[in-house]
Amino acid sequence: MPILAYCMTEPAFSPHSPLTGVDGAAVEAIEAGGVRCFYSRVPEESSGTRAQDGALAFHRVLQEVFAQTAILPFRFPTIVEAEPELTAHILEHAVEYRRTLVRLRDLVQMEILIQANPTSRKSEESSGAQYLRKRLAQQKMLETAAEGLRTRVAFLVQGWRQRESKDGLRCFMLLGRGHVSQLRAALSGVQLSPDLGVRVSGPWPATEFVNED
Amino acid sequence: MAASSNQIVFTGTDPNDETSLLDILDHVLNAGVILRGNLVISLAGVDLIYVGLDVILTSVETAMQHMQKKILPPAQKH
Repeated sequence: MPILAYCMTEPAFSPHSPLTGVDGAAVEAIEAGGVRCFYSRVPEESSGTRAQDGALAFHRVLQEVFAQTAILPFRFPTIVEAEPELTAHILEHAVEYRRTLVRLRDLVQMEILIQANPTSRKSEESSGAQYLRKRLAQQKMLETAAEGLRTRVAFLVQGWRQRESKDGLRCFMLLGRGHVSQLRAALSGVQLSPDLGVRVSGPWPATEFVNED
Repeated sequence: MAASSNQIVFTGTDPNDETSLLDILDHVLNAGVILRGNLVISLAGVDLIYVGLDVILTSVETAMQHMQKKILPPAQKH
């Protein structure tokens, strides 16, 4: 029977109570190579569950486990034919997964999305060159804002990564699990240009920091 | 629930908050370990390759419909 993989944890972890996953399936666990992996069985017949509801059920399992320990989540939906295939994958990467779980053990990821406000994004330029100049100026504004926010929280954050996206500039912060409230408080006092909008979300599993580069 | 200060909006991971819902879906679908270079979903022998958010939401549902058709018993001739 196909199985849906949720996340990996250190082997010592055991959830406080039984977990229920997608389609109401019981979440089970296997241990391989010093890594514990949580999964549930995929019914052979379609239950009629909408894909979005399945994704949210998947998220709830991740959140329940993540509230208790660091996790390496799988992307949804990662489905394999049976337990042996999942075990084989974990064993192949066990050293890397173990090392990452130990390194990220007490750490979480917070995210900042910095966007130019819609009115300032509206383009009234008459030429392509003017449009490009405006885009560059906006990009510079986003990066300057990111630098200011980064400076503001530098005393709390162990890692910072950022990348452009179609939605704006995304910044990822790695910090101690117990410092989330302090981070929100530090960011609350920041004064921003009225041309910018900033959204802070999290805490999330530290997936942006899985690679140490 | 989203709270704001100046132009900064704070969202959590509560799916009941619409802004958080988008973040949640983005995370579960785009962040995390993948088993292969391309994410291959294999459901009852139907292999689908993930190429994007919309495709994966559609493809999983389509695949489940396909699965349902495959397991229905063939009509018996008497």
